[in-house]
Amino acid sequence: MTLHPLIEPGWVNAILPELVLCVGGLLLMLLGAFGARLRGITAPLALIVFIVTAWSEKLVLAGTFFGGTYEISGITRIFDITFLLSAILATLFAREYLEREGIEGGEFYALLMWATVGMMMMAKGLDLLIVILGLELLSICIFVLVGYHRRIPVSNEASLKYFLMGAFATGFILYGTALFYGATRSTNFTEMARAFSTADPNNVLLSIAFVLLMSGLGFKLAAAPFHGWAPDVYQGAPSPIAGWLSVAPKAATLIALVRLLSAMLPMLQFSLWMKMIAALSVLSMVIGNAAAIAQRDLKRMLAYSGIAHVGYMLIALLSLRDDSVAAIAVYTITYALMNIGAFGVVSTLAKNQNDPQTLDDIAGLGFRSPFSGLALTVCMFSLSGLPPTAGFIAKFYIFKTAVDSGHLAIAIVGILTSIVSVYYYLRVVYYLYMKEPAEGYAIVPAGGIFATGALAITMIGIFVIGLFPTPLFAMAGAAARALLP
Amino acid sequence: MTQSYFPILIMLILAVVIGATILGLNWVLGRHQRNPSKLSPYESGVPPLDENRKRINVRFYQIAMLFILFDIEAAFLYPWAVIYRDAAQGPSGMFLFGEMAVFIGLLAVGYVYVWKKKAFDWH
Amino acid sequence: MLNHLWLIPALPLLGFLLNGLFGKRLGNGFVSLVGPLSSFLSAVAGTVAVLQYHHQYPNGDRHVDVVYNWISSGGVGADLAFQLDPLSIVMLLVVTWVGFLIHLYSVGYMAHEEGYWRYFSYLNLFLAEMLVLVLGSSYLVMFVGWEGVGLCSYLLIGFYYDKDFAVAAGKKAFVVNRIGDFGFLVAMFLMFAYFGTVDFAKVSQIASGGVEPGLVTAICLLLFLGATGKSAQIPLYVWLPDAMAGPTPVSALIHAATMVTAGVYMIARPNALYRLAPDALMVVAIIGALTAIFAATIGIRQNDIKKVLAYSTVSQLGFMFIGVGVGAFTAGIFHLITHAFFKACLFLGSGSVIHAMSGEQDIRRMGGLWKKIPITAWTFLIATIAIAGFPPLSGFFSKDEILASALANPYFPDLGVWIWAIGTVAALFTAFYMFRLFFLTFGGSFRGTQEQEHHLHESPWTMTVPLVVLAAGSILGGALTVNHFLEHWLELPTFEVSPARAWLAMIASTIVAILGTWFAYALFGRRGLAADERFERRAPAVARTLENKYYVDEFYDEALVTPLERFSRFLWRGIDALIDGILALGGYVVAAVGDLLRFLQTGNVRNYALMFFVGVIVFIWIFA
Repeated sequence: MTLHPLIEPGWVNAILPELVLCVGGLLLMLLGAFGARLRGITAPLALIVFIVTAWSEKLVLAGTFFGGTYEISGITRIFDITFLLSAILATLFAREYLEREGIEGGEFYALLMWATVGMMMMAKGLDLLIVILGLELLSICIFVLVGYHRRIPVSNEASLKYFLMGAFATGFILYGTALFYGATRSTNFTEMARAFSTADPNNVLLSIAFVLLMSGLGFKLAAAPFHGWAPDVYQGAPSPIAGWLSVAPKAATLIALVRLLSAMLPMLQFSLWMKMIAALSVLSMVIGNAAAIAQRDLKRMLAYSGIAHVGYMLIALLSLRDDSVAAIAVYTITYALMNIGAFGVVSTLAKNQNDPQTLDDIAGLGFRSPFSGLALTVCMFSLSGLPPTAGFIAKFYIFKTAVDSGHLAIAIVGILTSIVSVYYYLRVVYYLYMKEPAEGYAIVPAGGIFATGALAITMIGIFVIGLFPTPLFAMAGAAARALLP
Repeated sequence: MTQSYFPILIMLILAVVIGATILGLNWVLGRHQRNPSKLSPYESGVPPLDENRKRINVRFYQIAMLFILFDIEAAFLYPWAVIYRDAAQGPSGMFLFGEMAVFIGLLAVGYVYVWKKKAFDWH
Repeated sequence: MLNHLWLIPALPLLGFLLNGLFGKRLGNGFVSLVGPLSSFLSAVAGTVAVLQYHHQYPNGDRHVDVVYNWISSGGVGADLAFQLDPLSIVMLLVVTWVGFLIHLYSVGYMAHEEGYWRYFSYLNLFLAEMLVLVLGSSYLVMFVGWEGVGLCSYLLIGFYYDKDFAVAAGKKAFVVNRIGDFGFLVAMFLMFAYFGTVDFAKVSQIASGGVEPGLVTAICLLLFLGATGKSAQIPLYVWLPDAMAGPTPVSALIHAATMVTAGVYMIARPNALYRLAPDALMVVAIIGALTAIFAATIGIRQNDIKKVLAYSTVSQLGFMFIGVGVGAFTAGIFHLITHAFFKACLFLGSGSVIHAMSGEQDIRRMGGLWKKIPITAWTFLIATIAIAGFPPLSGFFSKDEILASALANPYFPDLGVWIWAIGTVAALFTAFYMFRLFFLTFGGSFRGTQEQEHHLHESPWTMTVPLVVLAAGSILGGALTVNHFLEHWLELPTFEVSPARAWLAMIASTIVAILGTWFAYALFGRRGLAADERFERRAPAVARTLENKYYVDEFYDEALVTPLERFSRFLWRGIDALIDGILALGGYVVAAVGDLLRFLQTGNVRNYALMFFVGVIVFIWIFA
């Protein structure tokens, strides 16, 4: 159906997942408004919508749409699945969490769906403006989701901080985009690539543009030194959202960054820009891992660990080859499983959400609730990168691409900081099994069937990827080869 | 090209210098006599009744936000309405109609939602 | 089955898990079923695979079954794969069937033991690991099995964990083996570094293609170091005699028929490498010869029935190494097979004797058992004749082939004559001490206590049937030389032995066997211990030296263990404390940095925005 001369046929299939999510979100939003009786089915309905979206990915055709601003390809499909996986896990954990806290409502899932739409736009956009559009859609949903638990002050505080910092960062992104437009006369990646192949790498304007854009995106990634918001926001946000927030927006930002950098590929070796990414990476790894050691609040510790993990992922950006992009894809999928799993266990702890969820809360949890203890242990082992978990595979892949492309020094930094990180991850396991809880203070996880199912999914996923990584490698590698010329 | 901007730079510098000079001289040369009534906010000579940093009822914000949203919708409708009659005969007539229908539809859904959530009621 | 080779080690592994997890609760009946059954199924599976192999690969090519590929990205790979080729088939059949017979025997022997379930779970695990060892397609997989059997050996030797001596023996076995493992590991590292692979076929291929000879010699010597550990050759043989502290079926299986042969397999498998390094072969042959005669001399003066057999094992292993050391790989493997049969028969027979003697192991207190436990006695006799090297039993054929090859070997002909001579003398001693053992145990009159005599009885069928089967194997094993069947089957490199030398060796072997037996009969046949006592009186120093195994253990203790202990204490008190301090310092620094960074998190959004802005300015300044 040709709606308009400028819109290519087949556009419906191209944005089918987004359409399903949008409509689903509207549906759930209305459901949330139309009465308390329907509250029970919002979560299952949300799950159905996500699963239908995942299935609709099959009907999506590869190609460029909407006048060269939207591209579907293998790599976008992989990232879409990552986004949907994160959203599904968040939904599963959120179900009992929201019910327990008394804030159940359809709007939650609607916002999650629209945020996923925003992320899909960031992954598929071939134009800086589309990417920014997706970014803003994502951000607005995050503002509300983080502050969803409006009865507790920390949640409101987290939302406000994210909003203020987000607005600040968006300013930088837009200014950077404007300068890029000024330098290349276009915001479309393909046209920018053409301009870049003949541009002067020492152009001050371009460098400043890149730094500004990178800073704004660095905020989204929670990369140091743009990470200030992360510990407070993760601590205040409802735990399922904190888990989702630590994974999905970062993944979206990374794929957008990959696209941007691959457009600038001809200039990269002559400029200092890669050094900036290297600096971001090193700072994130060092600050993230060092600060995490001092944390006793679980959510803050996971926030800092997230900063460190972004550092590892940025290593792969230093040399844009097909195996490094594939490594990032693999890392985000495994990271989704392990981090949302960890936050998920925290979300099942029944205590006042305004108080910090500390290590003392999980003291002895391994014996009070063996399943939760096991799930958290598996996630911690995976996060620290011990075989045969998925975390080891992901880190191995990243460091291998780094060494293969000659960035030995930064790989060594990564490995050293990774070793440091083992301490605070295994400290959690130590508290789970070898610490006695304080008198009369034993917190029991109040997770129901949804949370248990989600934890089972994460554990199985971690081991399957850890023991049989080759199919995932192959798929990611093929998709990455299609992306880079 | 930058030469043509020089006058602006000069003006900028002058403005800053004059302003800073006046305030600075005042601070250096003038007498400092502070008393509470001099520092309180001006309310047409009447003594202040209340703290000025009160919490305002959130209903006002809600109404204001909703107004903005639907006002922007109206603002988009205006140009569309002007164009529509002539452009409807052309190749993208259906598209124009559909697009605006979707836009209004989305906002209508939002409207229903807000209505059901009792944001239109004053209490 | 060919595509599911992993089942063969997996079945005993399953037995291990079942026995280990449920054996205690479900009782001896369950264990008696699961243990032998899993080994039997494994043997059947192995045989099926062999038949399939024979059908599919008439030329004796190598069949590889890749089980699992962990990481494969750009050259770095970790594969778990099993292979089947003539050599591994031989090992497979020996290990599984002899293993099954010993499992069966253990049902009877260990029936009254505490920890029955533990015994069978360890035994099953051992079988699984040994199968991994012989079926592995790369040195890495083989190493996994190698370590595994070492572990099981330790567990089984120390089975009677309340006896300090047994526990110490287990530790000794493990530690000494470890020294050998070091050699194996370094060899693997060299292979990996210079050849880029540890797969059997690829390594042999690359090495044959032409590499620095010094490298190949080094690898071969290091592999041989590992072999000396596992197969108890000089200088790492010291653990084997002590290992007799374990239950007798364990001695039969592990220390006679299977694990100790892993070292011989270790030389036969990379024969391509060894043929490129004749110096290494020479070392192997020399050590083999020296060990053969050395252990044989000790065996003459031992009085524990199992100790005699232990030294006999060390000696016979020396023969096997002579075989592979002179390049007669087939001969070495042949002796491995025949030895598995008669040595297992001898050990199980000794177990039967000990069982009959209510636990007595000292042959000075035995005697006259011939009429009392006939089946045991007959099978023991047959196995003794076989080991002594009497034609036409199997031992004669295998030993003779080794000695003939030594005499005629093309790598170092002059040395070969010496090796042949030493080997022949060792064979003389072998016949001698083995028949001494036989006559003192079964001949003459009973020298034990009244109570022991009262309890003398033949063993149950679960113990005697394996004895009979193994004895039959000892007789018929020689059939493998008919039409050079084994040679053609294995297709290992061989060389021609001139008829003159072959006859010389054969005649010498036969004479030596007869002589040794006659001496033994003369000295011990009728007069019991009198000959021993006379020897002690006439040459006390020699007698004592032999009895105390040339004081080698004491020497090792003084020269190696004590200085090592002192060094270890120094490291512990001094260096260790220093390193701990440095590491603690490192940890402290990192934690301090973390503590400092905490102050950047003020909770104030304005500060975060300031950090952000400062970051941007710095980056612009540096990178733009």
